[in-house]
Amino acid sequence: MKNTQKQTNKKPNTKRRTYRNRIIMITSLVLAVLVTTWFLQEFILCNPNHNTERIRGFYLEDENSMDVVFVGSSEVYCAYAAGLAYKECGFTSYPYATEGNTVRNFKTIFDEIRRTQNPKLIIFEINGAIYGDKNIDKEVNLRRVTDNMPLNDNKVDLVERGATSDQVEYYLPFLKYHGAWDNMGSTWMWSISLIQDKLRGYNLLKGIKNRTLSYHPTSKVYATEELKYRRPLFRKSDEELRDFLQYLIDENVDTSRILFVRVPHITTDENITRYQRGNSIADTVRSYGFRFESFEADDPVIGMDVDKDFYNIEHMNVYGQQKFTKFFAHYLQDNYDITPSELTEKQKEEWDKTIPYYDAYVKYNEQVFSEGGNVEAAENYLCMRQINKLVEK
Amino acid sequence: MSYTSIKFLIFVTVTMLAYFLFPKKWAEYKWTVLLAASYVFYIFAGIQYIGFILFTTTSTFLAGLWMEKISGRSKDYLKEHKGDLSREEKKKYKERTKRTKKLVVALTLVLNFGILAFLKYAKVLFMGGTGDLLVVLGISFYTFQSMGYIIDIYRDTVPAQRNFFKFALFVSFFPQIVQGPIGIYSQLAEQLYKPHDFDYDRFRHGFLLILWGLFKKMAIADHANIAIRTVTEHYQAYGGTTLLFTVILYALQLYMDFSGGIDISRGVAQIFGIDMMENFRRPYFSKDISEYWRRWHISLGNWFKTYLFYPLAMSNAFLTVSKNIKKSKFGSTAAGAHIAKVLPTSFASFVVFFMVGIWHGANWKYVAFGVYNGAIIMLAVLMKPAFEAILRKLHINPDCAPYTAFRILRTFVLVLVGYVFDVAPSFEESMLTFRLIFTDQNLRVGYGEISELGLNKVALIFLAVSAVFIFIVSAIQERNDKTTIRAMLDKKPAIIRWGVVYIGIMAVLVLGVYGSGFNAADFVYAQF
Repeated sequence: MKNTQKQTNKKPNTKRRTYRNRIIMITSLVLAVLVTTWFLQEFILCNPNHNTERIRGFYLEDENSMDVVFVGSSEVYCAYAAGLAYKECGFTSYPYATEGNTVRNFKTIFDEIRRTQNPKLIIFEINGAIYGDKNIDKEVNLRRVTDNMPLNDNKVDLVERGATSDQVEYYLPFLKYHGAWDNMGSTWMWSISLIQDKLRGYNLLKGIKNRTLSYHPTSKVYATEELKYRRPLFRKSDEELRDFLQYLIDENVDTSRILFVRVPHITTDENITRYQRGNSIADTVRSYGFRFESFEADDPVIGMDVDKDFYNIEHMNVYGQQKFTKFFAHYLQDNYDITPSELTEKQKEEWDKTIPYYDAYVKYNEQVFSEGGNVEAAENYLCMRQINKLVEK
Repeated sequence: MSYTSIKFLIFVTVTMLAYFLFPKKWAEYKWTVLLAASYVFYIFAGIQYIGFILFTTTSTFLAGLWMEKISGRSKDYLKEHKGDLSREEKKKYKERTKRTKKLVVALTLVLNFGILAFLKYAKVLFMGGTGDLLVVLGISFYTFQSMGYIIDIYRDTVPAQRNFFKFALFVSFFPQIVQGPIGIYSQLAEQLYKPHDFDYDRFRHGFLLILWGLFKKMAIADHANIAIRTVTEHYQAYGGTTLLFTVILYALQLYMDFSGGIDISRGVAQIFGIDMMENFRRPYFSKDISEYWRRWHISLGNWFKTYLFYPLAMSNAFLTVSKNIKKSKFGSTAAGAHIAKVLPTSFASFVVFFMVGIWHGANWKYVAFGVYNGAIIMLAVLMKPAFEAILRKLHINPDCAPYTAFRILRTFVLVLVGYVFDVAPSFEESMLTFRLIFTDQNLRVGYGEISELGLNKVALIFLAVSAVFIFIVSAIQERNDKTTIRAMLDKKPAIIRWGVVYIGIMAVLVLGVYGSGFNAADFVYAQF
């Protein structure tokens, strides 16, 4: 009798235990799948590169800790080094720039900067408005920004304005990039870098990237006075630029806190039309009441050497970057009254760290130059291994 | 709604919830959830096609009732007039009944197969175009399934279904509508109508089977399809080495695509408590072509065997030919006696495969595919004594392992030859493929071409590793035919069991071909 009672008591217990175990196992499985998928999406299969590292790095910075944010395309992170500007003038800055970043993305980037920082000045390099219509609509130019932005209304707005394919994939990039496993090449060095940045809580080189090459122009290099002609912009770029400028006005943005610039390039017959479109952009920007400064061509004050300071006609190498950054940081300090904000102990420690790292970055570039190598110098694992050694020295 | 889409996953989940949460007091109507789900699934595929399935369902249902009524009336009449009728009169009456039933079944077959044939061949025969006039989802599969039912009723092996909606479920059951397996009424129907409670083990097994099917289809077949599609779109541009590579890759792709799809179907059905028949039994381990066809698309093979092969082989015409050979001078020789014995079956096999070829579509390449398979089987049966004599002469033990391996390899090569017809866009191009495979082998050129087929080195290595993996899994199954890998897994510790599920899910998520960057292929057999 007792035995039977014991058995009947035991049965529901066993059943309950089985159910509990199943629930635990199923929950663990779902969690494991979600965590793995998130990890792969965030660090491995997201096609990581210097754009990923730079934009994610922006979001790692403390809120309201930035004096200047420099928005634009590849020109920006090649020409401007935030670490060097900090060393020269003591203000904090960051390049919110991606390869092929178009003017269509500017509104969202502006909103994102406003959401996370309260900079004294937001600078827009206008290359993104020179692109043709095809470039404006290119999915990759949109994705380099959206893939690395956190999910919020600004991202939704940009996806809705720019996405030409399945919008779900912009919010769940895993759907898009899961197949990247067969074509990862050297992306692993960026994956490691992304994980290191995440663990550290900030990046060390603040998103710079150069190539260790010196371009030697083979055709005539135009001087500024020869480049007065104004070539109209492509339709979509013009519309997007005007929409953005109107948006700034509608939002009552203080015009003294916005600056449009053109960084130095080598202007030859190959890219003269881009310069001429830049002239039209200057007119448009000014017509809306915003300031525009061009540092194009052979500005003797900056002292750019067209035979040494660029790695191609559009982009500076580390030599050009040093010259331009030093010039531009002081220029901002003198003309826009950019004074360093007060940083917390921790923030100061982090920014102070960028100085030896930028110095080591320069040395690393010089070393590769002297060896005749051609590498992409940026904050990826392979470069940082060398840079770390130089810092330790 | 593809079986590999998120939509389908949600659809199955919703159907599952509706089915298993169905009020217990109305459990006998649980099957209505499956019927509703099947029609929703069909409507998702294209509401414009619903008329076709409704026509087949209605015509077959009514024909079934009609035949049963004829049989019933006949039985009643014979019972009533048991003493009044002579044996001869009874026989005559029975024959008349049979003739009427034959007329009904013939009419149903002509009507339904007529629609199928019209859609498949009208464009080619009457409009001078190529391909199907309309690709109606699952028309081949539900037509074959329904016609099997009507023939079974004609043969009095199953009673007619009296509930139209129940019959509609049998015809339209959503896990099998796209590409089978072709169900047999006596095996499937009762399972569909019986109320099933949620069973955790069934769910787990079904889920694993779905996962396995998704991996085969999305990770292996769809990757291989990228290269195959590149070749078939520019067939003339490639040399013999690439074409040979493509045919071998096609063997992997077709098997993974079709069996993967069937695994998903069977897995979904299993969750609902329904066991659908196996459609594949490691076909590439077959030792001859006949065995291959008994292991490949088993449900179609069974259908043809039951409803075409036996009636043909046992038909008066075939048996008469056999008898005449036996009576002839040639029939008194050993060879003659053998031929007389096996001619009806071998000729019936030829006809069956000719029909299988035609079923694939209105293209000469499919006719050639059917004739090729039929001829090989026919020759193998007719020449069996000669082959056995050769083996004896060469002192080869037909059961030894090396000879078995040789037979498996030989069968695989014969299967590959058949695939050339299938993979080539037309009969002419299949002939060109044969010529180039034999006359234009150049490894260096082939390597260059293969690396340009849309699959990089890593993807090609993945396919090679997958093929080896599938081979190993199949070899394990082949050695333990009575059990499944899932049943074997059940005996392992929890960490291994759950680990396998985790790896399976991640493998599908990461290695699967999906998303807007890819153009995932439809299931190959869905087009037939």
